[in-house]
Amino acid sequence: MTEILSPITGSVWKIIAQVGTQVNEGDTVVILESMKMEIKVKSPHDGKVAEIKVKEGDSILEDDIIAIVE
Amino acid sequence: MQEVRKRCPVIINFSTGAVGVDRDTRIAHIREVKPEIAALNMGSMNYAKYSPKRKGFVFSLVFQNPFDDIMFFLDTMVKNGVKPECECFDLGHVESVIPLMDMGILKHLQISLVMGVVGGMAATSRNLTHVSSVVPPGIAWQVIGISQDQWLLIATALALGGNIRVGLEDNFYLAPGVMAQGNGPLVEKAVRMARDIGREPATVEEARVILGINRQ
Repeated sequence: MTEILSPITGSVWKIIAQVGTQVNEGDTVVILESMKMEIKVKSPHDGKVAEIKVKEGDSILEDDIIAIVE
Repeated sequence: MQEVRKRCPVIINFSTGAVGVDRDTRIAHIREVKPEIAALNMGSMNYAKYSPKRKGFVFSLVFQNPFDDIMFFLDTMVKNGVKPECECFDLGHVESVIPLMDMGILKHLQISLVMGVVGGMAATSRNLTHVSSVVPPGIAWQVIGISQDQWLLIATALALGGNIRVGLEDNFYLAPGVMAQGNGPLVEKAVRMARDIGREPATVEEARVILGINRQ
């Protein structure tokens, strides 16, 4: 199980990978919005998305858990 | 945009900024929906966020805005009756409006001084004091502060006679460690700061007059 942490304070613009789907290393899991930019948060390895901890529109802090990949 | 108009009589301003997207796509929505204002990014730059905690860049991009593209965006805005909001992330970006004004292709503009992006101007009062002094006379300017340094810049801009912008696009904090739950509390704080020093925020209709926006 790997926790994917937010690299920045921002808002959750779009959830790309749904719970239960297979992702490869480097696949985008969630897109954040911060500093006038869209920031892709990617899976650090191949695996299955076990949990998405945020909702679209949420404001989150740096290091908040975004998702868990197993 | 129609849904926003139904709910609130605000002036609508859309971005045209993007990295790795061709210029036709960057301006397509402006051509289609014709907002009152659109951002015109006035120069190319590194665009980054550095994390001292991680000792590394969270992201590091090159934001490309050569003059050919700036003039292409400007031409589209003029043809569609959209007022350009010249977004300037550095001193040279402000001075880049001068040749466009001299050629007569940039006439009705406003300037946004965007501060706090790594690669552009740092968010300091000293920088804002200087960069606002090179805005050509008679042109309205506002400050856009990225991160919670926004409040320092708001105070400085208010004292210098400039306009201000707040919102979750730029800053998530009402105070250190206190996240705003929406744009409303950020606007309320900005209004309070303006009134505290004797400046009264314009209504939407007054802002239309000040910015020279005639259409609804």
